[in-house]
Amino acid sequence: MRHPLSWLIWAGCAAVLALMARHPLYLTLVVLATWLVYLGVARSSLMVASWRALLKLGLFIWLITIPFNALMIHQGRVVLFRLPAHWPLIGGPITLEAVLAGATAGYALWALLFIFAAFNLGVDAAQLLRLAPPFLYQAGVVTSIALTFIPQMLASAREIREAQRIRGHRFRGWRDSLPLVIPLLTTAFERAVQLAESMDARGFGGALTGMTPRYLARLRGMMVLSLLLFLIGMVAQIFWPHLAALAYLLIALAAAMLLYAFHRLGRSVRRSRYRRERWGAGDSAIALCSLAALAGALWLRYSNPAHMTYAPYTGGLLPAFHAPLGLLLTLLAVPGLIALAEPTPEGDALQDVAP
Amino acid sequence: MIQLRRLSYTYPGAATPVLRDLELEIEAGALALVVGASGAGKSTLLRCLNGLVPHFYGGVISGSVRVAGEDPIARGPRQMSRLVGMVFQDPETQFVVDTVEAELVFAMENHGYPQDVMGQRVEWVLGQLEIGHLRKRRISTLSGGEKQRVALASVLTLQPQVLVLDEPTSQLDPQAADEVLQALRALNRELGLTVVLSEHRLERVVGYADQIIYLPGDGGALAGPAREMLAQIDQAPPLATLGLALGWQPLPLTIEEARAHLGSPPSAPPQKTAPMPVAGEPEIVVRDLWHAYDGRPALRGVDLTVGQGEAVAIMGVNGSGKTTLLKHLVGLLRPARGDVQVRGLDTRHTPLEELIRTVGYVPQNPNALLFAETVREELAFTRANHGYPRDSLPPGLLEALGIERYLAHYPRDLSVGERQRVALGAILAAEPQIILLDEPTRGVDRLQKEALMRYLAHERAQGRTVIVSTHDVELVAETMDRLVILERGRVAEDGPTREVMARCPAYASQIGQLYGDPRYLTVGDLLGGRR
Amino acid sequence: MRRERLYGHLVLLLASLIGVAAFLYPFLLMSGAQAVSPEQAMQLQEAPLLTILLVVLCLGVVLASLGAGAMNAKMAAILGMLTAVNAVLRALPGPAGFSAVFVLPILCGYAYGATFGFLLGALSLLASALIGGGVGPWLPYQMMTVGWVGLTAAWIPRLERWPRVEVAVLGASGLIWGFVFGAIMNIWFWPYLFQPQQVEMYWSPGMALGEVLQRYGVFYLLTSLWWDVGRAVGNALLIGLLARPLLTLLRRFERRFQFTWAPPLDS
Repeated sequence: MRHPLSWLIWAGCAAVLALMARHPLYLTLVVLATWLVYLGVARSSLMVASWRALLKLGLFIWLITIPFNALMIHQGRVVLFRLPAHWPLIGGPITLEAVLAGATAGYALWALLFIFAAFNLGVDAAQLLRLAPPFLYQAGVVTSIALTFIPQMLASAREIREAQRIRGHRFRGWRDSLPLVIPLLTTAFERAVQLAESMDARGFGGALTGMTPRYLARLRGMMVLSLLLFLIGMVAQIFWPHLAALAYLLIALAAAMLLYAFHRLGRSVRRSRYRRERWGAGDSAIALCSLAALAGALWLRYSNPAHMTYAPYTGGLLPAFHAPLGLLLTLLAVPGLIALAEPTPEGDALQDVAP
Repeated sequence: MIQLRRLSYTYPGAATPVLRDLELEIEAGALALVVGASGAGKSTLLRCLNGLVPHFYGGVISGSVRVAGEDPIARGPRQMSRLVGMVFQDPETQFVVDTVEAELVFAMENHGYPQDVMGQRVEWVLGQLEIGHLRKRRISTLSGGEKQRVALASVLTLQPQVLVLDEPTSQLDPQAADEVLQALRALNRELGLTVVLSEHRLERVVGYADQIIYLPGDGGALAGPAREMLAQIDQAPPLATLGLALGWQPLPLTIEEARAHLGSPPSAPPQKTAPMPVAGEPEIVVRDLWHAYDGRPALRGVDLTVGQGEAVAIMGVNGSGKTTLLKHLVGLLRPARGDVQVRGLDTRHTPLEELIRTVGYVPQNPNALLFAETVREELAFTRANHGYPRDSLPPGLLEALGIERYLAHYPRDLSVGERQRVALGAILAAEPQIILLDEPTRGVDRLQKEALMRYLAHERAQGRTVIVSTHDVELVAETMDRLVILERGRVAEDGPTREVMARCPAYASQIGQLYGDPRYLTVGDLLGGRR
Repeated sequence: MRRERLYGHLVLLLASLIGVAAFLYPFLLMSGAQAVSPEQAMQLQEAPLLTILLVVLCLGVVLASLGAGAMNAKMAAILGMLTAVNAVLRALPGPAGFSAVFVLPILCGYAYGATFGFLLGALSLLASALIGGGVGPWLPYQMMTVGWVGLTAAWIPRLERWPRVEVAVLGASGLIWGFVFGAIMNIWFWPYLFQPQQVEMYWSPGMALGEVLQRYGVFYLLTSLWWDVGRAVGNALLIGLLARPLLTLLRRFERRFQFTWAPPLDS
């Protein structure tokens, strides 16, 4: 399978584009590109069924959003029918523009869901975890342990349930869950202690070696300060728009401090990392194409935002189309094309042999 | 390589020290076996070698420990991990990630090894333990033996000089145990690693051991060459006990060695074998039972009839369907095809609540049952579930199980054997007539095994039917009248224990394998009660 | 040690404030404004993106800061195991929106402290999403919110001497969080629906912050109240049932293994 980082880049860019270009035609391009990717990954994944169900649910929700929107908004020229004006919230003219606007909003949401469906099917959870940066190492270890032991805890839960049943205990609902939950937690603790022994015996330090408590306190202070600056910058930008430049400066400063603190924290975790996944030409292609699409869209947004939005109320019922942006969006289909061009992945994929 | 001088250690909150002025020396390249009853301090001793005691547990330690020239008490487990690799009992709880390759590099990552060294070591260790085919597998899909070998591999990547193993095979079936022990032996012979391991089922490993370290329970340790020590310990395997009684020199450690002494037939005439107790009315009738898990058949047409008062053992490799069969007998599983009648009740049409009044099933893992604050409450819970008054107990139950002393204890603080018996009590508090035991002697030492056997004899005397699924041939040879062997979901053998063991050496006891004669299965058969 | 605790709380507090600000950003932007300028329209459209970015950043800071205290093997293993159990509990079915995912964070946060509670809450959502293949744009919000559940439980004073009161207070927090969680989850959903031209749904020229919130309240009532009642009441009842035995268990293990705080750094 592809390197998880390239997947992340693709999903991130696609999601941002779907939200920025809230325009039926662009969205359709994004959805088509995603569909290609989805075809490429659905062949080799085991969770297709649950995602398909979720996508159907998404469609359902979309269909609900349309009348909801139409009933709430009473702007626009093409009136479909009228409700008595004295009805609270929903009274007034029901317009075509409102229906179209609602449909677009729901479409954007559904496209987002679709993108994440493709992402989840194509990426491996464990590989994704190994992407965690060094300054989040401890959280990564805890999550890794959790992932490893979820199946065992499920098996224990089943075992415990059986054992209590043959003692005559009946599980009629959550009221009777005590003889299940207590042994489950106790087993969790006992297992944890055994695991901790094994980890210690293999040199798991966990501690940030080489960092004095004072230095650590300083880094923490820096992070606190940067968060404070972020907050101030955000608030200033809203309430005092004439100070926008200063606000952005504060935010930039906060970001720099934060990145520095993260970097130092990461450096102090004295551990090496074994890289198993290789970054290939396909990964570079995916990353570059996705980032190019995003860059193009960003440039367009700052130079001429009107092209990217669909405004049925003011701009006319039919959406405008800016061809270069459309072309950029098709770049999102690259992972799909690459995946379809490969034979069904074998070799490198983790093999699940039935127990 | 390893020296312990006047080592004493007390766990935090304990009244008495576990180790008291212990003196021990282990030479480089030796394979040392640590034996002793539960609670004698085997685990503690092993953990002193890499610093887990006292760094992980706290407590008070005095005396000195030197392993490969380093002091674990001063250094701690993190720094000792490069010299001492430790593997633990439970194959399920030694892994941080789910992939074999990622787990193998965990130890090296902790020490900051560069990428190329890690790659080389992974290749080396996979080759050394012959597990290259497991490289990309998910750990959760491996068998117990494979998991333990992966655990071994993951500590081996640091190329330690000493390997310490705390009961590595007690959770494994015989085949898996053999794989692991063979791997250890290879590491000891080929790489010259010093291996120190503890084990209850001595017969598996005593043939390879250079040295036996015995912990009698007074806090000290006695050590010596294997043959000498076997005469002193009270948990010797049957071959050694027999050899000692018959004066065989040198003391045989394996069946091959014992055969050399077989020239003359045994001096005493064989004890008249006790007549097989006459089976009562058929209590359990299984007809053409089929069961499948997710399309994979586990039982294929099993036929079995068990009469009242019989003691039946069910044996077979892992996956042959033993646990599945037992679960059918208690009604946890319903037959897909065929039927199971228990005292006239058809399990397909009888609710579980009714069946468990007659059949008591004690599962493999007693921890799944125990959740109360005290042993007394555990028993009361079962009594209440069945509609009996909470504080009443079947007369004689506590004494027969030997758990009267623990009534106010927190059940999960007890040792494995004691927990096993408390779980037994929790099920038997319902006074079932038929008792099903699933692997009751896993991880249990000799004394506790004997307590269990006494209890089973007591139940038989009361007319109860006992069915045990187990890998423990010695237990079967000593206590069970009838042996049923399952192979791939079918009954392969079914008959009196003696006859079946004589026919199938793979399932015979040590004495049985030695003589190949149905009259001689246990030491008692040969010595007529003299020990 | 006290300084460590102080920094920990400061970081959490600030991160929380930023999170709250991120959620309220759209409301704040529109309150008091007279008309929607094109620039503001674009800003409103980007509100969800900004919110997610901010929440992810906060999460990163909090996780890095909490993990930066030395975490030894015992704490990592116990945290990991309990996270696994919580992820399993989350997957167990229940009526209308009920998921037992608050019980452990509240009880562990109360018994073991803010660090443990936050990490348990946030990471169990992450683990559950990773293993179920359900990573989505809602994940950072869920992680942050359930993390807060665990965190705030640590602020409940020690009530060991009055067991009934203890259970009642813990149950009440389960109830409250059931509703708050639903409200927050709606907030992430809501800006996505928000179209610049449709501010009328939630806003009219000159509307103050309070009124904007009021309109949002209506939206919330119409859409998710039913779901949240199930979650809130279910969690409260479950806590009421399990709190005492679970707390006994948690305290017993803490006494035995002493893993809830900072072992000395490696020398």
